[in-house]
Amino acid sequence: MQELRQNRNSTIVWTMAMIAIAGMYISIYPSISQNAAVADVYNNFPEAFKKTFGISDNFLSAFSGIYALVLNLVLLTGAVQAMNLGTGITSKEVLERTADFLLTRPISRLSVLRQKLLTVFLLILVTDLVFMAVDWALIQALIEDPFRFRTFMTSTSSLLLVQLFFISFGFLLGSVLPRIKSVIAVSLPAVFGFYIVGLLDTVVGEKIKYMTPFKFFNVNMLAAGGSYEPGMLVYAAVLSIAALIASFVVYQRKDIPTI
Amino acid sequence: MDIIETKNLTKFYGSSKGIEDLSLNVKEGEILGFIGPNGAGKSTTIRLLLSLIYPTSGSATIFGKDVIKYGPEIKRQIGYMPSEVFYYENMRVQELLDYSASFYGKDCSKRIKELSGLLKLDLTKKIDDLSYGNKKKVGIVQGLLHDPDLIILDEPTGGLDPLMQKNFFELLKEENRAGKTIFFSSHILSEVQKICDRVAIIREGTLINIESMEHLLQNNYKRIHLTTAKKAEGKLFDIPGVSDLKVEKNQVSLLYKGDVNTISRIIAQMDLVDFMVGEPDLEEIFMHYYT
Repeated sequence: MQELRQNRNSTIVWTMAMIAIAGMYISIYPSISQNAAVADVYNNFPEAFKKTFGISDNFLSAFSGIYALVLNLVLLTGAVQAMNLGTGITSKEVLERTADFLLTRPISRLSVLRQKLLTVFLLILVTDLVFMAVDWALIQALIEDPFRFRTFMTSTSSLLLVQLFFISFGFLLGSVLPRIKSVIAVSLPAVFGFYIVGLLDTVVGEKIKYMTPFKFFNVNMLAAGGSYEPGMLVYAAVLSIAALIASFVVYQRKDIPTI
Repeated sequence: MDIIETKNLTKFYGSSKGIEDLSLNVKEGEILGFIGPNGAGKSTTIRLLLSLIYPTSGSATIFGKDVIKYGPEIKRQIGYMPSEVFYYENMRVQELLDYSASFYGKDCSKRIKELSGLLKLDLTKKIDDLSYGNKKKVGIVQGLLHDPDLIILDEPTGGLDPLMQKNFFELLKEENRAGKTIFFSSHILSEVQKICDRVAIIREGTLINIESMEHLLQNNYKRIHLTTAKKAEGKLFDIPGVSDLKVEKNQVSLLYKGDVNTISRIIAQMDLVDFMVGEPDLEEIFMHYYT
């Protein structure tokens, strides 16, 4: 399909970016984990800084510590990708002024948006599968610490879950906002807004997990072998589905601005 | 059967009016000219018909079916040419036309070849590299390639040179002869005059008249010029049906619609030097509706 091809290159770039981030940390881990001086440096970072970058106290004592940091960064990157795709694909016709062409063909808006959703799902799925395969291969090749495949799968799949939320949220913004001039100008503030909210957890406390997708799932615990809270999985799913439904309703009823 | 029918169609953009209470009908097999100045609501009406926008109130049907409820089904038989043409710019002309054809689930390659030959459109060029006029041609081919029963044109001739315009009108007449209904929006009166059977005039979002072209041009309006022997008096013409009255020294000029006996009796009272009655052109009638 048309849109798969159009988004192919950017998907490759995003996948490589996530692999690069993960690869960098995974590859330097063996050298710094042996080095007490490095551990000291990290431990002496201010508390706020550690929070910001998801550095836990047992950061270097086990691979899970640094993997949680990796995941936090990959989540952020993946969120931007998903949000860009979601917002971009829903507002693209208006931005490129091809809405008149597409929507005067004999297809319903419902099927237009459904195809767009399918396209985005497919692109994100490919991204995540490639990322996970390379990520796991790197861990196997470079890390001596025992890191179970199950833990890897559990913790890394949070990427897909967070991305699903941002796709839905992107669809919602892309449908609701009448005329998006620049996709990045919408998606970046949205994603970083949520990320910054996530940094306020010391202030807000436990409730933070309901307020930002970056805290829906406790990545640090997942990387240390924990499992998902069922309640939070449901919560994330409900929000995502609600946003998607809303975006479908709005997209069906909205006026296409004149060129 | 009416191909297009709108009932009290109204569209407000926030508080600003697009169109209000617009009721019109387009009969099967006719070419209806839809004229009005820029911003009168022509495009708004067309976008409502294509359900690109939704009405504030009122409704519209095409082929007897509600345009919103049966949008996708109706559009199978509609060819639409927008006033401004924007397509996927990375595509070549051939790719775009094939893409467009793919929505209709039938083989349109022969028709594409025919139409682009007639309009001298180069199919191998990138859309991005085309001039405004050539993009318009892509719009024409794209609108006609699936052999639609209803052709909706939104100011289609801008950017076409006179020769192409002639070819294009020939093409439309041919389609019309084959039974196709055409809804032709324009602010250029002479082109509407050339091709349309009936004319609907829209002004500030309201339909102010819909008449057959013949009726509009011949039966109703007379352009009258008088040269009087003495200084003319305008107040003689203070009767219903007179408009655009200009009195200057011994020259009188007016547009008249109504019983010719009434006006001839008035003129008979005057001492004339010269006297001329003619058909007004559409332009003059149009101006009359706008003043």
